Amino acid sequence: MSRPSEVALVSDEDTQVGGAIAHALRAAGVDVRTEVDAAPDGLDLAVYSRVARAAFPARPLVTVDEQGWIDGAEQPVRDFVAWMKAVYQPLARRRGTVVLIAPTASQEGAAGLVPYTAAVEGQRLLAKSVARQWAERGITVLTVAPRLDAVVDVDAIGATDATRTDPSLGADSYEPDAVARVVLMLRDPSARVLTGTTVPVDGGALLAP
Amino acid sequence: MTDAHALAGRVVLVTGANRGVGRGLASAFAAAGANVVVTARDEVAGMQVVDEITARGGTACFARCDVTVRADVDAAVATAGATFGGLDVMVHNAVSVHSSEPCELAAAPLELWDEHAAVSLRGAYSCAVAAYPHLRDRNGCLLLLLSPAGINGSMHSPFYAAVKGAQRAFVKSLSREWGPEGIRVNGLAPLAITSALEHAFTVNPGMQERLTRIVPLRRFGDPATDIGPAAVFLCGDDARYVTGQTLVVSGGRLTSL
Repeated sequence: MSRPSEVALVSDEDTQVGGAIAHALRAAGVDVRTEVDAAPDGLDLAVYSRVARAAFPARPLVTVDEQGWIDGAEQPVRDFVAWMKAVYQPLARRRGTVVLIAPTASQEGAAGLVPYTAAVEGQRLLAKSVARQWAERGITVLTVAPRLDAVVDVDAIGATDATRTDPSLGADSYEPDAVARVVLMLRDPSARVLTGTTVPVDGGALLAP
Repeated sequence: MTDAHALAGRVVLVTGANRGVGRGLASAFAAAGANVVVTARDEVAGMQVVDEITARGGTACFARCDVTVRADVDAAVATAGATFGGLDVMVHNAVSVHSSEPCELAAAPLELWDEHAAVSLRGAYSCAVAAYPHLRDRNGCLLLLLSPAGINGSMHSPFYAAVKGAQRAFVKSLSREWGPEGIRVNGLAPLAITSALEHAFTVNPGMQERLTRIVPLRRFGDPATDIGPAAVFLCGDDARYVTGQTLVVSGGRLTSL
C-alpha cells in the first residue's frame, strides 16, 4: 500500500532493473516520474539505475583506448554526480531516499571489466560519502547491489568472470524483480537507519562483509 | 627499518613523488635498493627528492610527468627504460591538488570531479597501460595508492572518496586480468602525515590532538618510515602470492575492511 501521494523518480526505465523497479513502484501505487523536472513538489524516492553501456563489451584493459576509458570509467561517475546534484533539492523537500543500483562485480572485481567496475565502485563510494554528508538534512542514501546478470545479459557482453561466484539461492533470488522488491522495502521510513550501506541482492553469492 | 636488499636492482617509478606520501615512497624504495624514477609536474621539487636519495647513497633520476597527459606517462616509462634498462614496479600515487579540500556535493562544480578523475583515474589507466609491456616481461607489479576514504566514504571529500573507491575496483579487476601473465596488482591505503595536514595542524590548534586520538597508535604515519616499508613489501618478493588486495596502513584507524 502506498503512502499518500508518494513520488518516486527512476532514472532509466529502459534498463532491466530500472524497468522492474518502476513497474513494482507503480503497482504499489507510487507516482513514478522519469525526469527530475517533473517533480517540482519533491521526491520521496530517487533510484539511479543507469547502466554504463560504454564500458561494454568486456575486453582487456590494454585494448581500451583513452577515449574508451573516459567513456567507460569516468563519464558514468560524472553522470551520477550530475544526477545527484539534480535530485538533492527535491529529496530535501521530502526527506527522501536515494537508491543506487551498483552490481556486486565492483566489489569483487571482474576480468575484462576494469572500466565498468571502476565506474560502479566510484558511484558506490560517492553514495557512501553523500550518505554521510546529507544525513543531517534527512536524506537517506542506499546502494542495492544485484548480480551483474540482473543488470545486463552477461553472455552477450564478452569474456568476463564477473559471475564466477555461485549464488546460494535460485535464479529467482537475484532477477530484476527480486531487486525491485528490495527497493520497495527500502523506501520504508524505518530503512533510514541503514543509510550509507550496501544491500546485496545476489542470491547469497558474495556474502560480504 | 627497510631491508636494504628487498628491491635490489629493481626499477620503480613513482608518480607525484615530489612531496608527501610519494616522496616518502620514493625514499623507501631507494632505501630498499631500487633504482627509482621520481616523477612529478614540479621539476624543482622532484629534483630535490632525487638529490636526497643520491645523497644517501641511493639511485634515482627525475622525469617530469603530468599523469593526465598520456604522452608524459609514456615518456616517463621510456626514461625508466633508457636510464635503468626497464621497469619492474609502477606506483601511481599522484592525486588532484584539490584532494584535501572539503567539498559540498550539491554545490560542487562538475569540473572539480573532472580534475579528480583526470589525475586519479585516467592517471591509473595511463600508468597501467604504459607500464604493461615492461611489467609483463619482468613479472612486475602495479601499486595504486588508495585511501581509507575509498573504503568507508568521506563526508567532506566525496570526489576523493569516489576516485579512491574506483581505483580499488581497478586493482581488483586488473589483478584478475594480469595474474595469468605473472603481474601483480595491489593497493595501499595509508593514513599519513602530509604537508597539507601539517599546515592544517599549524593553523588549527588542537586539531592534531583531536585527530590522533582516534588512531589507536596515536599518530599519523610517516610516509618514508611507516608507509614506505609497507609499499616495499607489496612490491617485493615476500608478497609474491599477494594480488588484488588492499593493504591498510592506518595505525589501526580503519579496521572494517
